Amino acid sequence: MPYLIRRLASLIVVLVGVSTVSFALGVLAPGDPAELWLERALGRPPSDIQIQAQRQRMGLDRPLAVQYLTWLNGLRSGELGQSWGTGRGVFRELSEALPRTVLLAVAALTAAIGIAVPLGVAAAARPGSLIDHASRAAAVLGTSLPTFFLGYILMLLFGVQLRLLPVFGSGSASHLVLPTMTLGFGLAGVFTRVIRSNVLASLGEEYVLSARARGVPGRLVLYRHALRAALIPFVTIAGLSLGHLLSGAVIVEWIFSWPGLGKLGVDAIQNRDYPLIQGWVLFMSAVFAVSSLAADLTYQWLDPRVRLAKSGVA
Amino acid sequence: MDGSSVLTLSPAPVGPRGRPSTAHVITTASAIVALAALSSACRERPRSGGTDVAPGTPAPIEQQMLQVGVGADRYLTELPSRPDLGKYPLNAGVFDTLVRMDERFQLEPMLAERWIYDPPTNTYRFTLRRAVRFHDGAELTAEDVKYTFDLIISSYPHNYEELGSESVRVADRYTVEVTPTRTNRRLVEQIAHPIWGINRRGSNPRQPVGTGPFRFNDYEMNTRFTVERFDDYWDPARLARTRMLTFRFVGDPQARLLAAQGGQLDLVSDVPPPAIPTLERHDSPVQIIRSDIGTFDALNFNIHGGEPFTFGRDPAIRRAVGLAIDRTAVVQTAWGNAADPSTTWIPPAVLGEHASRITAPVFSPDGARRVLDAAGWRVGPDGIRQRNGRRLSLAYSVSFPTSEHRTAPELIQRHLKEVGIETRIELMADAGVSGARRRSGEYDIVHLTGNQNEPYPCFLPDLQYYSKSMAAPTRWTAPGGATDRAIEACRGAADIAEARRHSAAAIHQLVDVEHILVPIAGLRRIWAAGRKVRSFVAHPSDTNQRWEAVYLVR
Repeated sequence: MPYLIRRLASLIVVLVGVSTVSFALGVLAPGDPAELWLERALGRPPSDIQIQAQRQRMGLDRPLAVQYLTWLNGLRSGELGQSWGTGRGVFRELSEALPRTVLLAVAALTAAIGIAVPLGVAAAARPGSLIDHASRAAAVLGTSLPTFFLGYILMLLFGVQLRLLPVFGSGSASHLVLPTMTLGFGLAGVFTRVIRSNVLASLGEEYVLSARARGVPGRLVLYRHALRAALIPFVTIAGLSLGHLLSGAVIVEWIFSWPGLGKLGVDAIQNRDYPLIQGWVLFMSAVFAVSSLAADLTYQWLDPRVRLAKSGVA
Repeated sequence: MDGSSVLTLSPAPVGPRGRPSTAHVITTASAIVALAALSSACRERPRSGGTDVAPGTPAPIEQQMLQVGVGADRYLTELPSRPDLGKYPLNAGVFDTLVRMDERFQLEPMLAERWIYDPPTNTYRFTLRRAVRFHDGAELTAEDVKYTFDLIISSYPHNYEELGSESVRVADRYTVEVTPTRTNRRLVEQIAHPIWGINRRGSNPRQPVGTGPFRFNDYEMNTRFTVERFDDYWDPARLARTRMLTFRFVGDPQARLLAAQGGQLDLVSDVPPPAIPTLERHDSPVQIIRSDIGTFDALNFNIHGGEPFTFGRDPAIRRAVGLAIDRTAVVQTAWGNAADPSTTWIPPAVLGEHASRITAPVFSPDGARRVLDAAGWRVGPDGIRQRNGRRLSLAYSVSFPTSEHRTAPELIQRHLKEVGIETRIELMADAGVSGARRRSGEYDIVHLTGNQNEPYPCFLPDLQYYSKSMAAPTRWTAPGGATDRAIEACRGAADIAEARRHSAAAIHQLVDVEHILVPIAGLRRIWAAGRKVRSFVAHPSDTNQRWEAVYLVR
């Protein structure tokens, strides 16, 4: 329990730090948000008077400390301020986009695991075989292909050439396929390599040899003994990959116009919508930090040796 | 993200001997082969239709549902009273203005049948067209015009149109009087901008009600804006031919284009210039549609900069830069056939017969060298000129980082180096950074783009080069004197022909006399349309685009 409390306390410190940095970035970034907003509204350079009035309207004419405290106060109430583009609450914007990103991330994670587990196990079961070489080549391809490049290739193939799937938008299961493939493919490459090496290592362990000596069938040894042990470190990697999924989603959602958190962030940056950018950065950081904590805790729960080591018993 | 770069690869991971790793080489090669194979397969697709003017049977009205791909959603809706939705920057045809600008930049009456200006009282008297219906069935009256103008004025006080809260009065049911706070003879041309589209009095701007050929149906922020045909439109000749028009906000230009090629979208805006040659092949699944030139690309000198940004004060340097740039080469390389070399900053159609007055420097590197030699700028050991120990090195700020705006400055940099002028290109990350730089005056040259969105002939000179302009960046670029006088004469001209003459004089002064403005290119709007799309005419000003004529064939 003290470990959990320590981790939670450090999580709070991290989030306070992130909130300060994200606010400071908004202030330090070159360019006046009021001027930019007016250029966008008017389609022409605004006058000094207009800029002054707009700064007042946005609260940018107040001292920085007051702006920061106002923003922190907004954090405390959970509102995170108001978007300068839509006038809606930042938290509302984020919470509306979140389910779509979660859907995409879960779909990509499921697809990646669905590809990686059988492929990794098959490759480990027959090292040096054709399937091993093929899985390694696919893994290298998956990890080294830039996401946007893969996205365009998939669009070209399934959207333009075969005309099987929509290349942008949301609203149906078919809209989810290409973004999922794009996001999941890279992850599947990483997972395949991890599972292959973990299973391969487990196959040399004494308990596996013992199982074999007892006459347990090979397939059962592979899946019940070797894979189960190999999945424990994999859980941490899968947990940490949530961060990868969220950052990857920024590019994938933009390319495929998937209206999730990633696209919301890019739109906010393009429009210099600072309240939304600051809320987005804080929100994403919280998701990263919480998912990392969850992965650690799950790992501890699955592997008693980690708990014992932390309590100094080992 | 708005850039139009075609597919690129990430930097190669380096192997132990400093070479790209084998895995990366294999991956890259495989990806290129795959892409090449796919592209080749795409090219082999048989022709699926004719051109835009090819005959075809219109699809039944229930199938007239057009999907249009546009860039990211830029509507501002942060105030409940903000009247931009459906008007600006995406004009979805929901609203009509009192007057409009056609595809040739000419003024055309719309909801105002006629108007007169009374100089002694500085008042415009607009007579409205009768029997015009809003989408909710109500008749258009002068009250609606007053309501709309007041809404816009309150949303955008201190406007260029010089309209204040007391400017608009209802004279009778069909007559409205508008009195700018200061003399403004160009108001009629200014209010052709779609932002002045007339809203139904008391309607919710987030559920826009206008008199346009399309009525509002649905808006999902960052996703789509949908309109449907308005059957009671006042002009039967302009009744919409599509039943439903859905604008899809697709920020990535490559994705937009692929969606059109895949048939998911019927029309897409802002096709990246590098893609055009491939799409113009006879077997392409889409057709390319170009507008006339409506956007201009130019270099702009800072002529009032403080140290060290003082090079623009030297007329010899300004003249030499104009002579050293081969516009034709720059345009061909950066934009291909999406642009033409330009000698002006305003569409010739706006200037009418006076356009020929602007000649612009003719490419002559030797001429540039002679001008610099005469001004005492001597070639140094590294080929860059110097005078009194000062190196001729210009800070060259580029406003928007699209791929064309990376290519063009690099070419210009090369041309200038040929005559001994060094340039330090600074790509501005976005409009905010660019705006801050222009306001600060910390540049020698800025590379700018200007759009002609209204038929007001001196709109762009007034905006960028009038020394008493409200726009802050003009304090570094406006020469005053003859330019100011020409702009003021243009603003005060009694008729538009006279205004054009003065506008041409202002541009002539800037380009040919003072060399503050170096025109580079005139840009076209490039659309891609599916083979079933007919009668789409691309407007040179995207915010003035009309949609009622377009339709689909079977």
